[in-house]
Amino acid sequence: MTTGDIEARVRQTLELALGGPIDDGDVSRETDARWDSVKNVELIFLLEDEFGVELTEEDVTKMTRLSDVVQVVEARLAA
Amino acid sequence: MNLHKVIGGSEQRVQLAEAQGVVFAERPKRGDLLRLALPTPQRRVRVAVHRNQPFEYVASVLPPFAAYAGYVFDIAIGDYDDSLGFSATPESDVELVWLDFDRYGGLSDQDLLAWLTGRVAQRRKATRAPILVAARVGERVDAFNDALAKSLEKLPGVHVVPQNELAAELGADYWTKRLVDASASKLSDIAHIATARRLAFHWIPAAVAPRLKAIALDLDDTLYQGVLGEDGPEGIVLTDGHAELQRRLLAARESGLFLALVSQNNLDDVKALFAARPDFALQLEHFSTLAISWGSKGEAIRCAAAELRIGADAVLFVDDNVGQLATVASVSPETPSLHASEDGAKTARALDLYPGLFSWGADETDALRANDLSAATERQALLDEAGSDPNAYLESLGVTLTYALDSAADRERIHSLSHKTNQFNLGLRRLSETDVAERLAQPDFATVTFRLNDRLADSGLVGVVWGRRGADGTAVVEDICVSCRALGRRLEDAMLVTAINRIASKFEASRVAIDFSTGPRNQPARDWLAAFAGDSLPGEQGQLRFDWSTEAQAAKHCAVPVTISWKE
Repeated sequence: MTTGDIEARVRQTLELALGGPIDDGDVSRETDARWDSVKNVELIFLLEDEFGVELTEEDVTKMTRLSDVVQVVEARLAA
Repeated sequence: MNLHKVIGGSEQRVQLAEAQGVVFAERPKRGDLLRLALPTPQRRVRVAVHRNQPFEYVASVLPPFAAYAGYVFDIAIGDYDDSLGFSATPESDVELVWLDFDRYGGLSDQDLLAWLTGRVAQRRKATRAPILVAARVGERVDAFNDALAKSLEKLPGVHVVPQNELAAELGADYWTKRLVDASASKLSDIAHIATARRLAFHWIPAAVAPRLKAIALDLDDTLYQGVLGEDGPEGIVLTDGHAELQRRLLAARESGLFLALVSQNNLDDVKALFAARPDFALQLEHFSTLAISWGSKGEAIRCAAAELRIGADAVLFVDDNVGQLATVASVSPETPSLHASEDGAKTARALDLYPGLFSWGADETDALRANDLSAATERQALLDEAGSDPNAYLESLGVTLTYALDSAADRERIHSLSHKTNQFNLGLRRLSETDVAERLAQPDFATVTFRLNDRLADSGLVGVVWGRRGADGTAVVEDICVSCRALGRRLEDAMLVTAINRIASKFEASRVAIDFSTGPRNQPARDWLAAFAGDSLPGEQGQLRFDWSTEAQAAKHCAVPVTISWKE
């Protein structure tokens, strides 16, 4: 799976967590008010199902932008 | 109208059938749920949550389950509050107390129980909405939960949500040791999703709507594997899954649900099938009605409902053929349906979870219903035999009516009658359990209940008449609800006049006013009142007034060969 594939699936998963479309580009928790701490946890639940990985508390703290999430998932898939 | 209806046209029925694989999965996935496309639900229910732990992860997966069940839940989650202060609670239809009991480690079980009971009792005074209290989850909590249930059962409209049973079903999967800091929750996402499903399918519907009353079942590839007409009675296969399904259906019957057989087959073939298959847990006598023909199943459902004296919206139709579900939806759009799986065990699990089949505690008359209906055929034969002599008919039945005035023990059944009766519900007031409790306790109200049995069957508590003290020596009868099972025995006048006489006596009234209202299905109740008054009813709702002498009324209406007694 390429980084582009992962990013596309992460983007869809984030939209699912936030309940609607997100802006193009590297969306962040600062730029999208819906992406609060509760939605961040729900995003983790969804990512774990979507990619078949287990994320950690440390991963959660890193997930502030879409690109961060892609990196976290990529790292877990490679582990 | 039954409010569990998921309902709609044929296309929506197919959508719902397609969603079954997700909503009834053993472990539904959050992503699958959030992607589901479901018909627009029809009923909004406002739910207020009082909590000291996260509810958000449950709330976010409630919408797809609620939509499948025909609801939109407007969830208002309160602030984290260990003290259960109930501050700023919006008006709601249901309230949920959702606590992490481990946060009360400083209290003994006894003190925690007393405190929680006190807080819920306080809340009971402030709202008429049903209150659901989630049970304690953890090790060695059974005694606490038993004591909690016992303590709260004294409060009307309060139910203990069996969260502990759900946790036991999920085992170790209920808890999570990961992401506890991030989520501030000890529950796994599996637990959040399973909780949302039970709330949407069982616990909230049971608090706001009456239970479904019947399950209408297809035969071929639904109750067994195979096609009777092709494979013959010996050729069809009772798989382990179908055997499990049949056992569950039998248990459903014992809990008070009617079973109906709705099959496109030859009746003789169906009789031969059951005669040849003693290994079937379900036998022909377990079905309260048989609708076996080559005609439309939609019409067959309507006929079965009429025979059972219930609305078609109270019947769940189960069939392996999605086309049949769609056909039934086109003829009987109010009838909910379930697509039977090839795997009978999956159908059994879906039935366990199906919205509207769960109830809070067994209604005392539930278990009597099927036998009582069976006796109806014999009663009709006796009536035909008696011809124009109604007393001969009643004498042959050996009827006993047992009345009670303001009986607190009947609170739940009165509430149930108020919500379940449609055809003989004269005032259509639909009282909450809290309203019922208040009326039973207050001296200016009178509530008369009556039980009916005859030599053929015990019908249980079949009717309630409630009244209040009016002005100028008038007793106002606000509502009369009678189960359909008690109708048609030529007893209506005697049953109801006996009850009204007691209300009039309690208030020393010389006049009686009877309220009436018009609903889509209460024509039988209005017909009775019109016949009793000897005149048509003045409009769609209002009140009829009568000069009332209890002696004269008893002489005129209650001189029938029936044993009448009063329970203290």
